[in-house]
Amino acid sequence: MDRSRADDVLSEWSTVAKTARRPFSSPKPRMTRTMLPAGLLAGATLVVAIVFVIGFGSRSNQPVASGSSSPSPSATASATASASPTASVVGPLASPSATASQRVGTPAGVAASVPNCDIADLYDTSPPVISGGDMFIECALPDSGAEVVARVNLTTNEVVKTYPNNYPINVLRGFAVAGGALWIRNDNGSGCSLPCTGFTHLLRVDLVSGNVTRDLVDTILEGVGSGYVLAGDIKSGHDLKLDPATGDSKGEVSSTLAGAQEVCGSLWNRDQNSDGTTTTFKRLDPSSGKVLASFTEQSMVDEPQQVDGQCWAVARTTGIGADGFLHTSYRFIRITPSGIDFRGPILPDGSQAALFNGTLWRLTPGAADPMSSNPDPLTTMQRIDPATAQPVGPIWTYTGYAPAFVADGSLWASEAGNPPEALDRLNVPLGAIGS
Amino acid sequence: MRGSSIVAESADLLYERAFEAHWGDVFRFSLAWTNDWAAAEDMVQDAYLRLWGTRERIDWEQPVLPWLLVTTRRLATDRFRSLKRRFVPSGSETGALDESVRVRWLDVRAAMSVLSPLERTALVLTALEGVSYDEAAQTLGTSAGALRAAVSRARQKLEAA
Repeated sequence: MDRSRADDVLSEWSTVAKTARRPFSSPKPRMTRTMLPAGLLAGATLVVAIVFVIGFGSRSNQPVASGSSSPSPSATASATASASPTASVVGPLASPSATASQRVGTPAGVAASVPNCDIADLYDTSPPVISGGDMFIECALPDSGAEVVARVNLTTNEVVKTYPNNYPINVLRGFAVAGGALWIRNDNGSGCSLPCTGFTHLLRVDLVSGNVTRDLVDTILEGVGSGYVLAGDIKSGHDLKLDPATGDSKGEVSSTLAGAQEVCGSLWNRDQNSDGTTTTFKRLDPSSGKVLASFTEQSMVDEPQQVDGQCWAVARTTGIGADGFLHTSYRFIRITPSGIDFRGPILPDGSQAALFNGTLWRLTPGAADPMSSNPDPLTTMQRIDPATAQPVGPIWTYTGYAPAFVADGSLWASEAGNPPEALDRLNVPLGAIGS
Repeated sequence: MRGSSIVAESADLLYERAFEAHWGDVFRFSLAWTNDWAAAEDMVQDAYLRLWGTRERIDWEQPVLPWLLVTTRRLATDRFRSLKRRFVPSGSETGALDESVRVRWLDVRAAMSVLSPLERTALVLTALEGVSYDEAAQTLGTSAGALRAAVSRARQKLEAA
């Protein structure tokens, strides 16, 4: 019997895949920031941006630990410098996921669609960047799976330029926009183990021409801040400040401050341990890098956001449920300069917590698993009132995957399909509750 | 529920055994999903780190490979969350691929890029890894019917490419 082309491809795939060699030792968690070069932190852009010299003066933005808007006392934990473990959240909760009534709601309108942009199938993505009135976003092209950065005009919602990621091999691992250029971390996709010499490239791509004007080998994009592109030198382990116009190094960043974020009016280092169980917050003195406060939450905590003058974040805990499958439970937490002073109720199984532009949301899948075979995944969205930690207002429904980010005042989500072929801009209000 | 014989063995030892026994299976699953060698290595590491974190609670009398594969799939879809990635030295000597293998990988990667992650993984599991449609569907969080359709679609795409 003649072999088909599909069989040939599979046979070759199998042969090549089996050349992979297992590491000598199994991975074990370790706290990496102090043990590894800070430059090895990967290249997320906005969120990981080092902003240590961006204004810290707004003390009015400090999170408020108490007040009339505090959630109900029954759910409130006392502030502590070393946060106590949260309640057990491993496994599925008693509450059913996404009941029929929850599926009924107000359809969210789609204001616009960006075609040929699949964000659901990207493995490792950067959040979008808004620059010059345009949105830069990493997309997989649905036809080929190739990863590109697309430039979307936010007035017309049209893709005005795509920057192919074809150098040296198509593995895009984050980008930023600075100095009239797109900065792309691009890995050689042939695989490596530390120190991965010659593996990682940081490319400066001219926004107008799309030409690569600088190729920095063994350099990891860390973010943009204080007028510099911030990058990690893999070989030295140092964090560098690069001139965004040229890519030339203009000095180093203190390792203490590298990776710090200014959020909620303070400068923080937020370390999630490698086994996904704890997050340690360290509040830093921006001038000296001295640790002013430190506390650990027994969950994975995403980037905090300021919400009505307070500082909130999504906390996730993952564990094996009674069904033997891995489950992630979500809750909102409130952060003060010295600890966690409030942990909201765990959302029902099947729901996710999300923060968009300082608003709290409960999302129910449809989109939790973009590999779902359901051709019409249905997502529901409902605001959570930070004053009560309870759902409030209309339940919005959207035939597509869960909103992935907020940009230009709108929620954006992948439309239905496998792979999704477009990115939708949703008409869902993000203003004050009830507005 | 753990059996007494299992309890007698250290969870650490069981973890090491799972690492030795299934690393390759998980890697190929990850590779099929991502079509990206480096990302697949990262995902395998992430999955094993999760296993390490839950080794005291997991039921070691059950096959651990399905757990690893489902965990890997869920990790892969947990996008937009793990914005700070960690690189944990593995003590590996794997290094970069041999040049000839690298070239072959690029070719086969390009060929497989016409498929969606679901199609690729469904095809690899059923055609190469000897996994039944039902098991593959369970691993991928889909129905057996949808899985069959994905496999069929994948073959058609590869033939047409």
